[in-house]
Amino acid sequence: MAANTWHRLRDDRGARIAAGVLATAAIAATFAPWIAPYDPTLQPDPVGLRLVSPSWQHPFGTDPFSRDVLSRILHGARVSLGVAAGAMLLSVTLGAALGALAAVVGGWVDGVVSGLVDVLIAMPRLLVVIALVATFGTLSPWWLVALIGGSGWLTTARIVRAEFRDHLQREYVLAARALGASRWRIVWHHLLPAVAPQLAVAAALALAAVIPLEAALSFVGLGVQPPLPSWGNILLDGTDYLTTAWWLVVFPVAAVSLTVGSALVMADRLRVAIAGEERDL
Amino acid sequence: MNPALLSVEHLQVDAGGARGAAPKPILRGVTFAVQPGETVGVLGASGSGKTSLALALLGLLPPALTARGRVLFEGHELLTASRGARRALRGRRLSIVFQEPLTALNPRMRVGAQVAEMARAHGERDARRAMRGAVDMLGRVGLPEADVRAWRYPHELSGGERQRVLLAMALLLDPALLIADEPTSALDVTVQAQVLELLHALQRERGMALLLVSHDLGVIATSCARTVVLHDGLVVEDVPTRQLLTAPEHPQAQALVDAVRPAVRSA
Repeated sequence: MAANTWHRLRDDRGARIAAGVLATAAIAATFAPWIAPYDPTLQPDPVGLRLVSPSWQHPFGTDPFSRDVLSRILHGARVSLGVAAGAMLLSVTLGAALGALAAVVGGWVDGVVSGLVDVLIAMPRLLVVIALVATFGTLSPWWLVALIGGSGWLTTARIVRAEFRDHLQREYVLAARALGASRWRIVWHHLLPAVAPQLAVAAALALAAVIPLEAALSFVGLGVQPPLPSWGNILLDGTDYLTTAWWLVVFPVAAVSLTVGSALVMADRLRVAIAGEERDL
Repeated sequence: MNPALLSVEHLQVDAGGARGAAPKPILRGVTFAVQPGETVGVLGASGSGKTSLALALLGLLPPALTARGRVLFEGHELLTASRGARRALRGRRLSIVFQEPLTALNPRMRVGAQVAEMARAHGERDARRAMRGAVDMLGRVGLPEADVRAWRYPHELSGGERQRVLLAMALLLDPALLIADEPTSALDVTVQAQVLELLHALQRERGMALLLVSHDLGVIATSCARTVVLHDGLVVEDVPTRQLLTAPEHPQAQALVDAVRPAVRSA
């Protein structure tokens, strides 16, 4: 029973801490304009306030253009996590839909989807996305969502296809069909709820994969374009000052690591909770 | 003569046969009929083709099995009917109870919701009304405290209670024919008797026909006026149950009767 999984998760300290970090990041991203002490693109004094180390006025210091790093990280969360969440949703939805289609329809549809997954999964994702971005020139955040999300559905499709095929052979599905439920009704009411916990794991893993991907793209200058801040391009601005202005590197890296780490912990704890539930059934 | 409710004519089910291999027959020209309201037993040892027969009637044979012949149910030719037409009949006019209630129920869905799902699958739009109907039906199949237990998951109920849930699902839409595939063999003997008794009470109340599939002559002898004996995919007897008990003709029928004769005699 799915309710049990969530109860187990709620009683798990690691999961609670991870959820807290992710919730904090989401709140920071959502309310950045109201929380951030400064305008993230404002350059108040490029000479006098250049590379100021952390202080009460600028808790995370300032960058080479005298912009406030805390404000940029908060606004960067908006862009980075927004792109990541969008890409994660897209890839998980796409993966679930294609995996379900392959398992339920079978035949040549299954052949095409499975073949596509086998071919695409062999390609290094970052390089493919870099190649695509380089081909199309610089992209808006929406295109980043489409590209990153559109390239990340493979593992979800595999998981959903395997789980669906397993459940389709179980007697309760035969019983539901014997009593007149249509195929898509069974998918919607029996199979999707059955794989929901695994989908949640896939979503957490997708998030953990997508945040560094966006950061990496922005870091090499192909992702989010300045002056719009993202965690990747804040780091890019700081690379020349690694030895003299540590705060330009430490804070964006910490932001990425904390959110990715929390997403990974979340995925792990979810798995444990699911395994616990399977034992109970 | 009234037309039969279900008429099975020369039903042939084969396994395999793809890629030039010789098909292995599972049912070999099975022919019998069920009249409205009648109780017919299908008796056979395991491997005789009982379950394939039940699945073939519902059009749910696994893809590796193919069916030929004619299955007429309420004027519909089931083997050639479209998928949608068959689906509309299943559960509504032609229903089934499976052997093992634990695996036949979705472990992650509350039992009330599974019964309500039946109504929903056949067009009920109002979720609350479906749920009320489900709780009502669970009460009528004798699930104690149905309004509370409807919110339980299958693993929280006993075997007998789970079988009652399956029965509630199968009977919710008032089918004309219920196929019961070994409905009691997963249950304790005392619970078996209760479930069989319930099955017959509901059958009388609704005027429903029952096709009781079992390997257990004891179960069939107490329930069915007429018995079809399946052996190796063939109908070897189709006689009144009394005649089967006193003078079985086919050696296989003889063996099945001998196996339980002391029990039946004393009953």
